[in-house]
Amino acid sequence: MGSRASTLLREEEIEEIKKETGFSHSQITRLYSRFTSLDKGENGTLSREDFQRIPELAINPLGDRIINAFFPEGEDQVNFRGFMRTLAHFRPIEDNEKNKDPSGTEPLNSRTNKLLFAFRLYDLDRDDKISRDELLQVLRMMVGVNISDEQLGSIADRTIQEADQNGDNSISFNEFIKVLEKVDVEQKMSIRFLH
Amino acid sequence: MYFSPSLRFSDEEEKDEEQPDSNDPEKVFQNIQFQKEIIANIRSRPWPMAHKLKALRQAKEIVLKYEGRLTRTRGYQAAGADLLKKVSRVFYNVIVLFIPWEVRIKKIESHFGSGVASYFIFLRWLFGINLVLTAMTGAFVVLPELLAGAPYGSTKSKTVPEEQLSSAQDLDTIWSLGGYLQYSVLFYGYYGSVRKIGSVGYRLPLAYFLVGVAVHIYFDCQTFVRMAKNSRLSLVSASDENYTFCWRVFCAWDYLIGNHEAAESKGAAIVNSIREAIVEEQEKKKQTSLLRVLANVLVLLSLAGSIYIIYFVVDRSQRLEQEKQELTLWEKNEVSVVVSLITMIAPSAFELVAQLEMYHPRTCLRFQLARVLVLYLGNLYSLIIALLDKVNSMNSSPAAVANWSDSSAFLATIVLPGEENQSTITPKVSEWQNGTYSPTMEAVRTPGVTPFSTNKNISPEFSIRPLQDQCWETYVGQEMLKLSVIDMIFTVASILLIDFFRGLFVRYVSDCWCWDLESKFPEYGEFKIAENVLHLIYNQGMIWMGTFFSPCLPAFNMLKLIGLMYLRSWAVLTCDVPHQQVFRASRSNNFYLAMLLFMLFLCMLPTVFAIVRYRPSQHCGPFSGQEKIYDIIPETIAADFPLWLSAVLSYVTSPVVVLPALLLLFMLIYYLQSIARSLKFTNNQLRIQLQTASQVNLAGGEERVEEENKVIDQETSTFSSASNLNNSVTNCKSPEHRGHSIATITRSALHKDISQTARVLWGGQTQIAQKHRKEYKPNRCDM
Repeated sequence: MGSRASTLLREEEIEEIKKETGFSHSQITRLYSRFTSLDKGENGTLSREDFQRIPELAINPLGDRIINAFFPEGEDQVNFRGFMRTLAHFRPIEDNEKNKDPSGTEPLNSRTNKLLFAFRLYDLDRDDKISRDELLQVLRMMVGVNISDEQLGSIADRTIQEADQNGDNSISFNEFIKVLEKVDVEQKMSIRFLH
Repeated sequence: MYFSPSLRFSDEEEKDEEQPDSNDPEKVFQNIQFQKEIIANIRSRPWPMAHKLKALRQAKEIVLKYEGRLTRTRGYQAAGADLLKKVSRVFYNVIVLFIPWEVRIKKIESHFGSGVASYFIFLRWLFGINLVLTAMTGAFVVLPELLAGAPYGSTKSKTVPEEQLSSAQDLDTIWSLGGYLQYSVLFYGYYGSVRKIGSVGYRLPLAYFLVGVAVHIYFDCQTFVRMAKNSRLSLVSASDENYTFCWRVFCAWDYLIGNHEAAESKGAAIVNSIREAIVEEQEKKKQTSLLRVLANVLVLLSLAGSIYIIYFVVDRSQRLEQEKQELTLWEKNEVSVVVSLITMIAPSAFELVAQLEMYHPRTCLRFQLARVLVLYLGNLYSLIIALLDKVNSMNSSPAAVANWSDSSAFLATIVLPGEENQSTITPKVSEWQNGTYSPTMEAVRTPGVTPFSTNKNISPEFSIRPLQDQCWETYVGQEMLKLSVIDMIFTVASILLIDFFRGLFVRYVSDCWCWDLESKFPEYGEFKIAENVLHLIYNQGMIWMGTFFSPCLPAFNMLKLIGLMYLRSWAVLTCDVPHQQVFRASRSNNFYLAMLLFMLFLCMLPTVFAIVRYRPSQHCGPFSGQEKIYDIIPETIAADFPLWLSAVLSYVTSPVVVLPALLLLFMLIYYLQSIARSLKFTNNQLRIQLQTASQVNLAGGEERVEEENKVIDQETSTFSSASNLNNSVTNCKSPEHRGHSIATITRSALHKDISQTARVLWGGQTQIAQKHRKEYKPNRCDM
């Protein structure tokens, strides 16, 4: 840990991050340690190479897209605030939070927002639809060269056929939510903090 | 609000303390924990000393002040729960290491698919069962005999007879399990019939019988339990087949994988599962063909042919045994060899024929299994009939001996003049033919036997064999063990020949061969799931048949299974290629288990028949001297239990009680069946309603959905307690946001079930969000 971590993160910043993302004090400090351990250049920001050093991300077929999600448009460095903003999607949902604030805006880590994060990984052109080509790209990344093109194409067709309800041959966000409604997204897309 | 010490010291902190947070014990508790953390970490903070001292004092005050309000136990409870969580997590991590062969099976699964892996999982389960059986027989039968029973050489049934002693260490004798092996704890004949042995009075014969029964019951229970568990699993996964492709695309990756090799395996697994899905889709478009009738006819012919061959060979060996004295090695083992050859060749023939049929691979596998099962059963039963024939002949001779019991006793004490060793002579009565008794002469191995003119009662035409050999149970045990050993040898040979050498041949010779060996005949081998599973079941059937007569058979089988596991897994990974056609073996595997039960039942029949019908041998074994083997039970009850118990039991086992009890059982079965049927029906109804409700909801009618959900709710409240299918129970929630579907399943109650279902279905998690694992891993020491 060392004293380096605490001196660079001031209390006001912690408070601001807490308001913005909803993480608790200890969680923020822990994530900050993680941030600094990833930051090999010690300049307070992370680059894409820093993320690539995580083996699970490097091996993941969608690893590059996930890393991209951290960086705002066109930039190559992300600071701690930006890091936390993305990670806010993965804050675990606590039970007492669910009924607290029905009138205000949805917190960043609600189920819908988690699914939106996931959806944006597939929907590269940001047109709120996952088209057949985008699916094909994802499939190709997963299976490598082991399956022929027509077979992959038929799988993509079948997938869209299963999920598509309004007949536009692509998967919209609502259809995406419907597909994953039985999947335990809240638990899987959450950081597990051990105490 | 947490009390957060900062650089600036002012009255603000005093104000913070006074905040009225005491109405929320949870918050107070967390505050206290926070303060304690501060106290623990105060040293590493980069504050000036005065600040530190002040912060420490304040933290301690708060802790003292508020901790009194909450009882100490609350703190301990939370700490205890945390500790328990950590310990159980470590424990589960360690336990996984102890599951035997897990890494091996996972590797095979990822490369070859779930079908091949199911064979190895089945093998592992059988190994576990055999382990328990070995423990049972070892602890209750073998060990007591070894420890407390009469040692080797003390009685006639425990010693190698004189004339066999010289040849007792020949390879020939050992191969046919004679000599020292015959007179050891391996076989039934060694066990003494003394009612109580040792200083504690251990009732060995009773234990022998009860262990034999318990072995069967244990196996039945295990199989049923596993079948029940599997059917519950399959029921869960069967109902949610709506989005299989979407789930495979979006949720297949396991984001916790960080190892390169694991990633490769996972990738291979995903490819396999996608291939399986493709096959499933294509299968829905196939039609029937006329060739299938032809195929079935061919198969029937070959089955009939194999049964006839076996019958012919067994008959021939029986005739040979009657006619000739010394049998050559081939003739002695002819039956076993022929049986093993047929079991090796015929399934491949069936497979060739099955290519005509072009069924879905899973149907094809089931057909193949059924055919090979019939083949194995035919083999086994012809062997059994031959065996029972022999047993019959051996068993009926003591009846003849009884007539001449005096003379045999007389003969037994004769010491032939001029010989060093005693020889006991008993008339050996061979087959009863047509009801008349026609003895045949058999040469005796002892040297220099002169005609017995001393004894007038017995004509010298009697063939002579030692008294000890009249042990039909030992004979049966020997045959079973021999069968098992030969089967193992043939299995090893077939694996090496058919898979390994073929692979080598195809690999190295195909360069200089006329046609491409790798794509046309003979190609690399594929793992034949059907035959191998059946082979396992057949193997287990032999064990059941033989366990009663040879208590060490489960131990031998255990070793055999271990060897088989290592050999086959090596062969599969080295010599085989994945199937061209991949299909998802039903994870329930209930089909295998059902066949296992069927085999168990069929193999139990001959044993039970032999136990009930035949008299136990007079001179060997724990039941010698009794009329029937199971007589030990009434005898024990009469002798060792109070009198009233035997009276009660005799009432209970009379038809007056048994018949009504049976009737009651039948009625109970019928009742449970009808309940199960009605529940299944309701389950279907609910599922249909779920689907229509969700469709209606998407069309936008919220009020209509509310009504639908009310109906669903009523029905589910009636049946939710009765069924264990809680996954399909919907829970009404008022819509939180527009556009969310209402028919969602409650999160809290069904978290585990859903994630279990998810894992069962597609074995992975969402592709994203795998980085959070890394977030907390190295940060245990800070704060």
